[in-house]
Amino acid sequence: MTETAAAERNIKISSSDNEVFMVPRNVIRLSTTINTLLQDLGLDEDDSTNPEPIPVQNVTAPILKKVIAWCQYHYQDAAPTDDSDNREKRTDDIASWDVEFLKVDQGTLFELILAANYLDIKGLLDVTCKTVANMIKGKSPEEIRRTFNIKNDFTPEEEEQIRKENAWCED
Amino acid sequence: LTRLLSETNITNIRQLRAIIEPHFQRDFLSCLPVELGLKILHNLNGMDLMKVAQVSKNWKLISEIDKIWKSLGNGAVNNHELPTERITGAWQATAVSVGVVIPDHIPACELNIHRFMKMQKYGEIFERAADKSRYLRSEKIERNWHSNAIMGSAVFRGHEDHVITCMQIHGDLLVTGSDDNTLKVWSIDKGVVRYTLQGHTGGVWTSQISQCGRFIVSGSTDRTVKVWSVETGKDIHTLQGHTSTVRCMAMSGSILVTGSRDTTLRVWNVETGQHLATLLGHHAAVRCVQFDGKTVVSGGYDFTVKIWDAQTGRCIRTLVGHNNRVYSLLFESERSIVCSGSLDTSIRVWDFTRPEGEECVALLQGHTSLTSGMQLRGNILVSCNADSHVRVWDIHEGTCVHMLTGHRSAITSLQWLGRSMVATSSDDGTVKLWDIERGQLIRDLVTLDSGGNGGCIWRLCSTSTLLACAVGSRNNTEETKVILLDFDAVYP
Repeated sequence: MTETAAAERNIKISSSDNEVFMVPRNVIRLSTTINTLLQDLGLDEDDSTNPEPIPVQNVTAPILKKVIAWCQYHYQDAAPTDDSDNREKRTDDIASWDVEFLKVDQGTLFELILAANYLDIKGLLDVTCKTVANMIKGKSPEEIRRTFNIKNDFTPEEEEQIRKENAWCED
Repeated sequence: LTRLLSETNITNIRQLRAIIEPHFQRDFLSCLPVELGLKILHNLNGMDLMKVAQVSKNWKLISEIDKIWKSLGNGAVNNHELPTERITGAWQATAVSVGVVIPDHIPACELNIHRFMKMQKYGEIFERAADKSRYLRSEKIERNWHSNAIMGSAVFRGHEDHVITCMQIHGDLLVTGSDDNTLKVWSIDKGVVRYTLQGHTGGVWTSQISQCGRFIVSGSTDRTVKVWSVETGKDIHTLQGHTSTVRCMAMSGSILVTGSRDTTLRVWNVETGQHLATLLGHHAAVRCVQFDGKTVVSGGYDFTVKIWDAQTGRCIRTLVGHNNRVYSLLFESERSIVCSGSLDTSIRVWDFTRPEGEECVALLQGHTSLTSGMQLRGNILVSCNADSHVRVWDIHEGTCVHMLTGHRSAITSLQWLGRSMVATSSDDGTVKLWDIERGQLIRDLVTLDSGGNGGCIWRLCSTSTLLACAVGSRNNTEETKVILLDFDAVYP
């Protein structure tokens, strides 16, 4: 099978609520989970579209649609490097397309993180986690609670204790 | 729904929004699998993680998982030795006394409370989240240097009215050499002198502690080099051969290289006392030497810097360019970089792997006297000079990034500390701490009242939690002593 054939070939996948999507082989390559599955099942040998859609459990149609849109935009990017040892704390390097793409409600963002994790799409997982981190950065505990609707379940004593601990560095 | 909205007034819409909005919010850390929560937190710095710990019980729990703190940016988490008490011996008193000002020292009446607190080395956070505790300690040590009040200090008195000419620290050992013909070995944490090393018949001008911590080596105007046992304080070998003052030395493993006024360098094995080679070639006194175990770099009063193979004793390269005496050297073995400071006021940066005659890769000009000390990290070189200025250079660009002014007399030594701090000692009787990234003075650490009247700081030495300053004077206005400042912190 030639590269061009692979590029033109479509893969059928279905969401947890049974909606079927046709995705170009090269685009869905970004999902390590599906990529491995296709190779293991020998579906890459055949140049026709898989007759039975690959079920993507846990991911609903609206989210799967977003995930595919993200892959569509990014499939030609250079492969992400493994930077786990080289951690420079940068969250201001999110590309503007991604920033726009991730202007969604928290529920959608939450589902996207789970989907990116399940489908093992490293780039999408990184950028969604960074987006949440950006929502935390520079905020006071109270502002963080308000941002994510979290109840303060500390007793006043516990709260005072942890506040003291965290001020420990300052003399 | 659209019609409903268009018919509702703004107040009601706001109420509606307050009801609906929480449905879109998510407690990411509590609802996601832990490894995904960690992935989010991995993007945050220490300050933000502290805030995260105060949000809720769940957030605190996740934010205190070791993995996050271990990999946190500053890399300092495990760089420090274990906390010390530093409360006995000379540490029972304080260096703040008549004539010595430590501007940000806590008052003497509070010292006891502080000493008591230092005895508990591991606090509650350590029990719960060891790596967070380690991070907090290293952050506190950095702030102890930078801005916190100084919580402990000591004076080690010795060498009477003589000059302390050299000083080294190795773990708990502080070694001072003097022109009174002796060296003293101190236990830093106990605050006592362990041994006075006696045997030289002339002033001691250079010393080293071996990497293994078992030997002290000293060079003297009596033309000998002595090897001393740290364990017993006795001299093991007297190395003879130099025909004039031994002025400088460098060590790697058990191999020692000494430089002398007799224009030669000699290579020795300190374990056996064996003489291995003599390096002949300088035409005047050898003033400074560096050694990485293989290559010797020496600077002399003949204006040259020489590169030698220690094994064969052959001179590989002579770096020509300075037009006055070379006083200081820096050798970075991995990149084959040598920096030399000369009385011609310049600093030259050399790459001795380049073709002969083209070794000088940068000529740093700006200082107006001789450079007494240099340190290099990446492309950033910091130099201190007898012209009273510190300069920060980019050796790649060959440019001066900052000139730090504040000392009123010659600077005698410098030490790079933490991320971007440099401490300097001066003939003006002060020790100053600088931020070399911003090019600013952070604060004065020590000020002698006798400064300006002869009181000076001969040199300084440090660990990541301690600063030692050798104090004295040329005219008996200031007692010879070592002032120590403690910057340590316990694990909270």
